Amino acid sequence: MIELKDIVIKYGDFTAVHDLNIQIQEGEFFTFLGPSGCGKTTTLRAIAGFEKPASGTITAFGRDLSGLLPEERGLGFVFQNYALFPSMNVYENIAFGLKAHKVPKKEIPERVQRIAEKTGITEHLKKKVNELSGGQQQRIAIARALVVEPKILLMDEPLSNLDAKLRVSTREEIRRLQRSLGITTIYVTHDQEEAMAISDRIAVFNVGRLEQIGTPKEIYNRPANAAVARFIGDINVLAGSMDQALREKLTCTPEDSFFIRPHKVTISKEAVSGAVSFPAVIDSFEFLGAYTKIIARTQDGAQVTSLMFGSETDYETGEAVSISFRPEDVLVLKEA
Amino acid sequence: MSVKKKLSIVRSVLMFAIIAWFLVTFIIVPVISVFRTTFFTNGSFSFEAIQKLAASDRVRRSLSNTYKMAFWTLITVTINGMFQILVTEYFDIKGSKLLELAFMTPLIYGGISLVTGYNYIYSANGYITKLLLKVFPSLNPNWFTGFTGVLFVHSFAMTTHHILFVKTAFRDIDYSTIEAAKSLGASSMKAFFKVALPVVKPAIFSATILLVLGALNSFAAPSMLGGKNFYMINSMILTLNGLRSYDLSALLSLILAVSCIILLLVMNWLEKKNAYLSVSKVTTRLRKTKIRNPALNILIHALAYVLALIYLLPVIFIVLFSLGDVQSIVTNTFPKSFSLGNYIRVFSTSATLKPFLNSVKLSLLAVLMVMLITIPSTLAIKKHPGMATKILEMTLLIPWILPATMLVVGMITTYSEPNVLVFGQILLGGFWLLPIAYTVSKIPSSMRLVRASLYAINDSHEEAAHSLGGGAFYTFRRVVWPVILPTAISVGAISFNGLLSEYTISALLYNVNNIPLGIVLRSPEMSTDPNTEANSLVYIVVLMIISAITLLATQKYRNKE
Repeated sequence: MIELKDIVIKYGDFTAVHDLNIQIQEGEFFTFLGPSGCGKTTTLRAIAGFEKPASGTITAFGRDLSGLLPEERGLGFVFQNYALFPSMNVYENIAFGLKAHKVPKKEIPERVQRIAEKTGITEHLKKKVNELSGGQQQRIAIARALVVEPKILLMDEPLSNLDAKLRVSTREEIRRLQRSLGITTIYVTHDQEEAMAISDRIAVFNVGRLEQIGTPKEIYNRPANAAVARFIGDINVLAGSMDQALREKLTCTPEDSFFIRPHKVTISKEAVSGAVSFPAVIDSFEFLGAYTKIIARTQDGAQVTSLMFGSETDYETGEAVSISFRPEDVLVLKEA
Repeated sequence: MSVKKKLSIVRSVLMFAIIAWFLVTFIIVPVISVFRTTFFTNGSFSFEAIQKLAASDRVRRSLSNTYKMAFWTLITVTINGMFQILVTEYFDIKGSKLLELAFMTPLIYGGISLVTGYNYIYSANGYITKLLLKVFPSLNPNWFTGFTGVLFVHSFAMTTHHILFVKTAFRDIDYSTIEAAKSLGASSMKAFFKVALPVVKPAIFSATILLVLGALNSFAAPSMLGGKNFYMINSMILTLNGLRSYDLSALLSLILAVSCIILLLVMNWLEKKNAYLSVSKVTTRLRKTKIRNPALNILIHALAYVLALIYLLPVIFIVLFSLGDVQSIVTNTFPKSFSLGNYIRVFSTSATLKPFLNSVKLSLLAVLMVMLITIPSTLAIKKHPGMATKILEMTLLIPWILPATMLVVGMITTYSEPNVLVFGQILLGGFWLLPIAYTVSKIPSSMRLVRASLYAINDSHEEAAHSLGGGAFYTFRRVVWPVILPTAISVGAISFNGLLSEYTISALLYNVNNIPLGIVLRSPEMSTDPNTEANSLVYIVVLMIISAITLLATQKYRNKE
């Protein structure tokens, strides 16, 4: 188990991470998620030993890492820009950690070969690193980190330099590899879709603070506060007349706001029975293939987005419609 | 064809005819002359010069001294240069900014002014040597002469290439690769040697070759500190020229040229073979590493400060002594009072002001000629690729490949008698050969920089100007010139600064009516006038100030652009 206890990280007077407490289970794929500058990479670098916390302790499998140098921690690290050594070829890059760990010379080729097969880079071993594509470089960075068989793998936005399609296929590969090796992985990303697709659990960061820890489903369906709700997926803020109507129907405090996911909203020509409905007009719509995104506006000007699956939507801009949703789908949240 | 167009063609032809005449007369013919003087005696081919070389123990020794010196300079400067980079860029050393400043002092004074400055404090009568003798009475007071003296100066003065190339390359290292090495179990030292060092290897190779070239061509240090028995190729060439033994001096310059060409070819090959491009799209800035071992930390701190002191002491003492009274300067006793008296005397006496003003005049003339040759030539090379411009480009680069001494020896042997190329004049002993040789020496570096800025201009800008009705000259003035102007100004300032205290060419070509500053700086040890030493210190301080201003101003100007 990895435990971060009361971690505070400062740069001069600026506090980058406030009182952080996280426990990560063995074999878990755990993701630090949040917008740029929220402290997620700083925390990851502190686990690796590249940043020194002002206070707090980091333990991994019962061992206190606090006083250890990065090279003494035995963790694998995959960098955002891969950080491949340009003066070495692929084989030498992968073998570097084994040599640094003084693995017997005879063993090195076999271990490099084994990890190369697992990561699908066998045919590139003799190539220079600058001869490879971004995707291939990324696999080498992972192979290089895994070959020393670390108990923990740390990954700092490893997919951010890849194009959208490659990102999806590579994240699936990373997940498969992590499961097959059973290695505890801490993954940093700002992409909430990526985090949801790949993680066992997610820690959502915002301006240096931990907002929520949970499984992807928990975080999406039961966000701890408005900041998490806004960051994880699209969401509607139900304002104006909708807000007034909901305050009468739902248990809430004056500080609470009402949110609903777009796919929980139905836009139809008639009001839906058993749901809360509000008259509106179609503001705009975008046909996106598998679904259509419709934006409607209530009489008092509040905007609501709905996702309608299938291509049978035949609305026109300015057409009168009804916005409907079930009260139990409404999220009652406080602003963080 | 319009009259305007015809005029433009005539103007271009005339300009390039003058440039071609200059290059043929002062580069190509002198090079041919060196070969002719070496291998032809009384009009027939002979190996007499080689036989003379084989017979002269002193000349042969100058050759072996030169290569020995180049080898030892390579060792000491590489150790010194890499240590400087380690303590200013890689390790977390307290006061590294001050160290950096100390290590940069050779950038503001070099050549003869640095040797004069070092000689003033490290020679047998020098303040530091006297201090050292009090601590180590067994020290040889003349330690700063001959091989040791020259090597000492080289070891500390020739780190400029490391500062300019290796340090820049080091700053460009992607720090995440160092972190990656550490995360894979490598110590700080291992990360440095296995990851950082291989990436800067090409820059180290370039710096090494350039410093070996510098050591082979060294002139000021051996002629001033060499004493009676230690000669290197260039100081021997000067002596042989004084003896009018031109065939032997031409042969030596040829040997020097061949050595330089081989080194440059090696550099070219190494650069192509070892270029490591970072594969990172975004690189992380280097962060300094703490030395964890306390004993090692103290040792490295101590070594760094001692090294900085070696660099700073000459500068501090030269400045302080230049403000002292003449008596203190001559006797090398620390001045009791300080004043600007020496400065006022140097700049208010025509005899002491004259060499300074003469060097300003010579340098300005050379810079102007360099610009008039390189800018139109570089434009022509870019605009009209072909055989003629290729030859033009190669000719302009000859002085980069061949040592200045060889070209000057060629000029001396060609123009020591009336020559049709210079309208039957004898140039040797007159005014013009010195600024012309200065010009030739500065053409390649200027051309490379002007070319770089010219190639940065997008062709479509010129095409747009033409399509809007702009003629060739108007387009150049309004579109091209503003882009190359910052480079032209920087190149001009750097060249001017370098020429102000030039010594190698000056020593071979000066005459009593045309004495530049470099020659005067060399004179204190030959002069009996007590003021001469004080004057030299003043000149060195003024040169340092001019260099520092030039360096900072060009850097700021370029950054702004």
